[in-house]
Amino acid sequence: MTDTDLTKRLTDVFHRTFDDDRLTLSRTMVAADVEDWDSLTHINLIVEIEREFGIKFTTREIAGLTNVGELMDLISRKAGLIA
Amino acid sequence: MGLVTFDFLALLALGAVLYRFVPRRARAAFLVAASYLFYATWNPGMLLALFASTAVVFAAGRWIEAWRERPAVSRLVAIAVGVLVAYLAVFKIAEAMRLGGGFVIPLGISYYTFKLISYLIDVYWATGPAETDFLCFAAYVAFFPQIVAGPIQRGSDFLPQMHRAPLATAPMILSGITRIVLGCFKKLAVADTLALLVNYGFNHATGTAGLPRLMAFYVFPLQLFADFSALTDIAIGAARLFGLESPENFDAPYSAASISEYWRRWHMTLTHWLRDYVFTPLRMRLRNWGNAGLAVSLTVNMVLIGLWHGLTLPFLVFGLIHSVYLVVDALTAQYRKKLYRKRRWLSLVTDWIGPVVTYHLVAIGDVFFRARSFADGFAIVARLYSGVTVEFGTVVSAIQAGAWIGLGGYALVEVLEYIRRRQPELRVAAAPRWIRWSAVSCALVVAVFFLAVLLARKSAVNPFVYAIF
Repeated sequence: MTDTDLTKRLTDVFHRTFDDDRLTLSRTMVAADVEDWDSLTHINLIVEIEREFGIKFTTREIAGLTNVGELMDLISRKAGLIA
Repeated sequence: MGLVTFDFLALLALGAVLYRFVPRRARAAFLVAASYLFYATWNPGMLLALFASTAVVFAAGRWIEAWRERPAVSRLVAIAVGVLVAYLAVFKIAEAMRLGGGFVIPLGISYYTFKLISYLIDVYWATGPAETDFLCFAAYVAFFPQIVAGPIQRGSDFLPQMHRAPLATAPMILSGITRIVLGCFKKLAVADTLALLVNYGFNHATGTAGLPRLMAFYVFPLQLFADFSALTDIAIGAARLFGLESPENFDAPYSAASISEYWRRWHMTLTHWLRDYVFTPLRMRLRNWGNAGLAVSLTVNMVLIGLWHGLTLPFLVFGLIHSVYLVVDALTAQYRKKLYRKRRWLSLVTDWIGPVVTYHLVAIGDVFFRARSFADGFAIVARLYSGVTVEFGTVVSAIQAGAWIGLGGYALVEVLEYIRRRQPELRVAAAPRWIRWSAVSCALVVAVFFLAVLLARKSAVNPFVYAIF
C-alpha cells in the first residue's frame, strides 16, 4: 500500500464518518481541526478504519496518537504487517 | 484547614515567600513537606495511607516501564489499578454505611487515587514516562492546592514542571493572587449567600408554597458553580504562587447549548479523566456492538461520575439522568446535524433556546445531587411550578435580605469569568499609570475586606460543597 493510496482511502473514511466531503487530511491535523471530532465520533472513526483496512487496534495504540500523521503511520505499520 | 480561611491564606503567603529562598533541587521536598503538613491538619491518621499508596505506585510505575513489552505487565497494571479502585471503594462504602457513627471520608482520597490511577495507565500506554524522582512524584500526588478538590492534573503535565521547579514570575504572582481573590469573592460573597436561598428552598421543598421549590431548582446550580469553581480558582492561584500551572476545570458551563457540550465545560479535569480511562477503553471493547455499545459506555461513565460523589441513591439517580440525556444527545446527533444543515434558521433558534433547555436539564440532575433523599428530589421536580403564588411574601421575608444580594453577586461572577477567559494574562504593567494604581489599590481594598470577613467568620465557616468528595 502506497502513501497516496493510504491517504486517499483514509480521506474517504473521514468523509464518511464526519459526513463532510470537504475535509482534506494533513499529517499535522488534530481532532480540534475537525468539527464533530470528539471522544464519541473518535471511536466511530476507529471502527471505520478497522473495517476499511482490515486491521484491529488496541486501546493502548489509540491512546498514544496525537495527530493524523501518527494515525497514518500506525495504519501502514499494522496493514503492512498483515499484507 | 479549609482553603477560604485566614489561617490557610496566611500560611500560603508565608510558604510562597519561603519557597523563593529554597534551592531548586530542594523545592519538591519543600512542597511535599508543606502538602503533608496541610494534610495532617485535616487527617493525620491518613498520612501513612497517602505516603504508602504514593510509594507503591511510584515503584509500580518503574516496574511497568521496565517490563512494558512483556505480556505479564498488563496483568500487573490491572492488579495495581484494581487495588487503587478497591482502596477508594472501601472508603466510599464505609461512608455510605456511616460506619462508626460519624465516619468522614479521608480528605482528597477521590482526587489523589485518580491521579495515581491515571499515572499508572499513562506509563503503561507510554503516553507519559515513569517518574524517577520520588520527591517530585510525592509532590504531584499530595500537592496541597489540589488535594482538597482538584483540579485532577495529569502527571505528564505536572511532573515536568516540578523537575524544572521555576520560581513564579511577577505576572504569575499577580494572576495567582487575582485568581485567589476571585475565588474568595465567589465563595464568600456569592456561594455562601446563595446557599441561604438554596438551603431554605430544600428545607421547605415539600410544603404548599411553591417559591422554595423554584429557589432550590434554579439557584442551586448557580451556587454549585460559584462554590466549586471558587475552589478551582484558589487551587490554580495557589499553585501559580509556586510557579506551577494547573489545568482549568470550568469553561462557562451554563453557556452550553447541549448536554454533551455542558460536560465538555463542567468539571473538565474529571470528565477528561473518565473519557480517557473509562469511556474510551470501554467503548473500544464494545465497539462492534453499534449504538448499544455507545449507550452502555455512556451509562457506565455517567453512573461512575454520580457514584464518585458518594454511594447513595440520589447520586445514582443523578448519574442515570445524565446518561439518558447523553445517550439521546449522541444518538440524535447525526439527525440534528442534517436537520440544521437543511434549515439554517433552526440553528439560530437553538443557539438561544439550547442553553435555556440545557440549564433546566442540568438543574433536574442537580436537584438529585443536592437532595437528601430521592423522594425530596422528586417532589421538587414534579411540583416545580405549583403553588408559586401561595405565601409569596412570607417566603421572601423569611430569608435575610442579604441572601438575595447573592443573585446580583452571581451576575458579577459571570462578568468576571468572562474577563478572565478573555485575558488570562493580566497586562497591568503595560497599562497607563492611573490604571495600574487603581488596579493595585482596588486589589488591596478587596483583599483587606475579605481578610476581615474571614477573621470575623473564623468560628463559622461554611464548608465547600466539593471538599467532601
